[in-house]
Amino acid sequence: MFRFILGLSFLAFYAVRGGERSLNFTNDIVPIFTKASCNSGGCHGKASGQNGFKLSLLGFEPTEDYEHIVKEARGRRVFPAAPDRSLLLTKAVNSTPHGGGKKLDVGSEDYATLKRWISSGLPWGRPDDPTIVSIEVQPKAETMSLKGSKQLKVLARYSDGYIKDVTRSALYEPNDKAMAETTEDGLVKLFDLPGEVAIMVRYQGKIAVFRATIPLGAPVDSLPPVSNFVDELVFNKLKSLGLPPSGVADDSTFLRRVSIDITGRLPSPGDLQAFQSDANPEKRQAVVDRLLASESYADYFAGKWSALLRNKRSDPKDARGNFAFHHWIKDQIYDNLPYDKFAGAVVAGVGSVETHPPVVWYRQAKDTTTQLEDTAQLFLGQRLQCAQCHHHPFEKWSQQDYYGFAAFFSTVSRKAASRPGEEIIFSRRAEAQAVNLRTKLPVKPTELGGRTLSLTPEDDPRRSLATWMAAKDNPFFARSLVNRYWKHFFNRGLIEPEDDMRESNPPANPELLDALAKSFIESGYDLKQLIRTITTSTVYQLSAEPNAYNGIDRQNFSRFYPKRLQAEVLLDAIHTVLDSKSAFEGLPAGTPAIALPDNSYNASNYFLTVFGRPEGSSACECERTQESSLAQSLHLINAPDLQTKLGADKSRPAVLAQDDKRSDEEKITEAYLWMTSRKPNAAQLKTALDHIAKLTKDKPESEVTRARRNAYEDILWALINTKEFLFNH
Amino acid sequence: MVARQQRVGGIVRCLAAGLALVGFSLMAQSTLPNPTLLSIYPPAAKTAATATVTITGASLDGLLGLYFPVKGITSKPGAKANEILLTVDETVKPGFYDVRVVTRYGVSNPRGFYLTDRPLVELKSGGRLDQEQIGFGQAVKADRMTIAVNAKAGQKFSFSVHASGLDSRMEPRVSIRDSGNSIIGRFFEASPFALKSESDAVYTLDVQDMMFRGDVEHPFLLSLDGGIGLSKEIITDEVPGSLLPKSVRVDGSYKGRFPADSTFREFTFTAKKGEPKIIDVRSARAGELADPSFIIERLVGGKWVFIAEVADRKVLAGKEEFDDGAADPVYRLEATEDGEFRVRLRNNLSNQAAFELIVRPLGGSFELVALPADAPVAKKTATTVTHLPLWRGSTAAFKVYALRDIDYTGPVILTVDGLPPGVTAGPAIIGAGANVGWLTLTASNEAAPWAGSIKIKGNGSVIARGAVTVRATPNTAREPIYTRLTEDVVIGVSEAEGPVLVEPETAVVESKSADKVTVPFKLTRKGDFDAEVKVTALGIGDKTPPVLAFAAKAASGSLVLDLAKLKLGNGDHTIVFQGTAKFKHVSLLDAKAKPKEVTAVVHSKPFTLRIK
Repeated sequence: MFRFILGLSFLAFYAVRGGERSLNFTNDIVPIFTKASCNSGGCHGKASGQNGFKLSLLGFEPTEDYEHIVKEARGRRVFPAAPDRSLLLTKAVNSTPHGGGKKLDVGSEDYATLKRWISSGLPWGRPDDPTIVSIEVQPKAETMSLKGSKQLKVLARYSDGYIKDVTRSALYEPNDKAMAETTEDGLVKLFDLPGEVAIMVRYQGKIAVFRATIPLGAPVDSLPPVSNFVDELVFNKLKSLGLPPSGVADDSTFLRRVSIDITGRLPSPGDLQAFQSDANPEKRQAVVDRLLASESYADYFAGKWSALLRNKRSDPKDARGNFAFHHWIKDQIYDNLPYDKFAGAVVAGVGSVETHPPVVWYRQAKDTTTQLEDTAQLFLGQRLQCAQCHHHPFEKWSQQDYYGFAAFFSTVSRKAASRPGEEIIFSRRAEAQAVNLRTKLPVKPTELGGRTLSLTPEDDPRRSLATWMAAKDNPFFARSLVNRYWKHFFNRGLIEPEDDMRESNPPANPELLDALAKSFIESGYDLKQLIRTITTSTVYQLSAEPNAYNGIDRQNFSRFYPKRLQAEVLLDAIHTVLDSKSAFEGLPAGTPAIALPDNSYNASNYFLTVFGRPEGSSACECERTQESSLAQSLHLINAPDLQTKLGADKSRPAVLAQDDKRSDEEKITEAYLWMTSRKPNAAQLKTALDHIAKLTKDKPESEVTRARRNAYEDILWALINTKEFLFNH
Repeated sequence: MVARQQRVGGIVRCLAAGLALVGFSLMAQSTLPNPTLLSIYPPAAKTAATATVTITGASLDGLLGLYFPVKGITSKPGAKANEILLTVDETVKPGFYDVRVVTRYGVSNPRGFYLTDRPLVELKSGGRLDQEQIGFGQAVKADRMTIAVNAKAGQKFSFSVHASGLDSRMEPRVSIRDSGNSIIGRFFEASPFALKSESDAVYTLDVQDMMFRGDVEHPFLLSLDGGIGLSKEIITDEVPGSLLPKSVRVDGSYKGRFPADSTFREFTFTAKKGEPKIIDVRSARAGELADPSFIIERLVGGKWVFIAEVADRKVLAGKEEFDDGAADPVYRLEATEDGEFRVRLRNNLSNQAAFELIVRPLGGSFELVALPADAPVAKKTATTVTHLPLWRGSTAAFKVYALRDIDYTGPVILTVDGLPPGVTAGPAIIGAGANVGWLTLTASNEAAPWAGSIKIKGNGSVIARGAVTVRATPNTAREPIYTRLTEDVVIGVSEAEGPVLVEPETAVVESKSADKVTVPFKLTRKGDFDAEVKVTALGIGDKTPPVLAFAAKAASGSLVLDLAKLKLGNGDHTIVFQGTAKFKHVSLLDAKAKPKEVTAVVHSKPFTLRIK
């Protein structure tokens, strides 16, 4: 009681004192905990708190925080009569042992504010205290030089018009740590990569973004010819950055690149020769059309979508569904089903494996959480996961948004189908709604950032979701897909990661992203047309060879960014170049790895596992590992199955060695054409010829054939282990 | 005999895992050697022609021929083992028929077989098919079969592939490629593909099983011009892909198709207070791949007001027995006032299956399905192939389901027509409100070997269909259960003699509902069979059915029924007992062979328990 009266007295004293605002817990105290990362997910902000003290994550729930600090454990953490002795402060300065270490200095402004708050009786604040409306970062954008720096200023605007400088209290995070770093006080320091970097600024649940454009400043005197709007927009950016692009790749490089990217297959020497000798000025467009019409294109992209749609075999009885779903995906890709129909067929799927194979997605996406999070991530590029429990830390999504989106899946029902392990998926008659776990109140289906829908119990809310996704004004659907496909071809999305599109993670070229999305929508969500647009652009056809300036470019597409062949593509490539056949259990001989229907073949094929073929456990393309590893290198060097293929009697090395109608030069050239789609240069040819000579020299007649064959095996083995073979460039 | 429907009750029913065990084990060593048919190839034959087919299966020794439930087909064993020569008369109508193997031990389970008056061509990879021909083949494991089709400019095709009508395991998938190797179309079972060739061309068909399975159990038929007749129970003018009327007035019944996207179709009708209406949807029961449900609404003040949502009806048959079409919903509407009503009907399988919507007054009926009575087997997670062998001097039983309309509760008296000489049927009643009854057939010692169709009738007019397990499932948790319905109920009278005949001393036993009643039985043992016999009552007593035991060598026994515990209602009840008996059997095929111990399923002759 005495404490209470004392507190009130202090409060009254400060309230009437002129010139000093009375403290508000939400506005003045919570940001201190956020800045000091007390309420981060790694410490007191995690669900279970830390060492008995819990705060809401990033201060999203101030009322709870007040309870924990002031009232919990009989208020033992704060001592208004002697604030310096409050546990809240002694721990923060580490004068009482603190697992989190020293967070504040005794003389700091934050310490003083906390002390004042405690001594003034721990005020919550007045009902009419202003609330934060927004934050603004100044400047919003600036062109800066390489290795330059800029001090940001962050202003918080409150509902009463009050503006407060919160620069010192805000949190800063660059979206590309390779390009910039920030100090705690908002000083942005750039490194030496040209391009654009965004600094996300956070304060009290509000977000603002500073964009730095960092031109290289090199002369951009001439640009390659413009084929379409992709080139216009990329080249505009390169001009503004002073980043000259590399030249256009030659025919053989282009053919290899686009064959791999569209079909997952290498071109043959015959394809190469025909392409190079074709005088048609439109031949690059023509080859793109040919590749898009091929079954390999459907196989390759079916494999991509099959993994993203979780077409996973968890049990042998899943096999029927796996095959049916994979066939369906491949058929739709081959037939070029518009993407909005494709997505709608999955998300709003009704039926069984035999009547509507996309319902297999629901076999792995068993619960509402997975269904909505996968849909958001895969089809809308939105990672909603965090918002299930609290306001999203990096984006605007709240729990209300999360559960409003969940409501679209709230009527999904299942019943057993005729076969073990299979289900019929349908929408039961019910009021579509989900319960917000925080408020415990029902939420109707709500488009992300859009309308709340009033549906009848007979409506399948997923159909409304599919309709909204495909709407021309949907800000996410088309952008998400074009960004995903952009990344497929360029090894880097316009937004990275490709499924994390948010205000605080802006695209490297927003105009290009918008233009691609618009074009995609106007085409009727035509995936082949999108691929055509991308691959017939000059930008896609730029050489991977850096010039004097753009070797450091990682985000502006001034050159082609090489990427390692995916696991299936690489395995198929090895089979192609060695003229061997794959053998997958239960599938026709020669079935390429890109045509495998599900993940079950990974376990029996170490190559696919070690080169990162995904299991189909996630809607994230990141499940596929593209990183290099020692295990991969060792496998290519030593693996018995590879050695067996190399040494087989009818393999390409053996056939080449036995061919006595052609010279070694011609045969080595053929080997190079298979492996790299180009002829060897003089030095490479000499190296290969010398090796043959070395192995066959002084050998008796009876051993020459074997020796020659060994030489050719060595040459092809060596080529398999080169980056030129292993990478698409 | 009319051409068999593709599947009465639909295509092969693959039922979910459940409880086990119907019929006899395939382990011929410990059971009677009842023939089991696994495959027959070619799976088709031409009418007005002879053909040689090869069969595979179990216990096929003593092969006598094939049985077709239609006149005009004769058969005899061929020169090679498991080969049969067929002669098909020109009077036989083309279509799918059940074929069974007949041996000296009895009749096997069926397989689908196709008879055609068109030229038949065996398809192998690299082969060719022309219009007017019917191609047949077997899916090749881990491979595709490529078939060439020559086309002239303007020529029209209707490609179709069929497998389920042959009880094939194959799930066919056929891609059509043009001469540039581009895929121009695909077709699957029950979804033909129409093509008009714009020019002279050679098309290639890639035929495969969806999962690249293949062996003798994966036969298929291929036609280029719709030459394979598939009769359906529900005939409607609405064809797949056509524009469907949104709202229809129903007067009695309406036949139509579900929309492809699982949206609702609306049907309106009038109902009066005091005049109940039955709203019944027939689709799954007609063999369609469908899972219908509907909503009933009433028009009140210009708005439709929800009354009820109706989904599956009560499941009666076990999953391992047959699919009783419980997916079809039914509802009894009792209007509280005269008014307008609406049914909003949809299909949860989102395919354009056919349906019949019936809105009728009270006065329903029933259907009957008969299947061989359960036999106890060791493994409860497996099914075996069922057929009903009838041994001379013994009794075998059918389990008969009455699939009642929601408003039919009366008793169903079962009778049998078409029995061969020496075979008699016991009295059988499916009591009022009950769903299951037991019908016994007893072959006298003098009954001659026979294979044929019988008609089991309910109340003199309703003819039962059969239910068969088409192939065994060793693990029902992993693989589907394969059962289907048949038009005909087929039995075979074996040459072999059963070990024992169990029969009640009196045909009718009368009692009061709370009484204990003693029923004396006599046991006629054959040969040197002297083991004890234990048989359990079927269909009564819930988890503790009465057991009738005969001591070793005993020729009689009695059963005390505590009717108070059995809780049987007033009226007549047919009581049948079932058990197994181990005995030494001398092979019919080798009289000099050492007798083998085998296990036979034993049924008693029935008695009627009349409770007053």
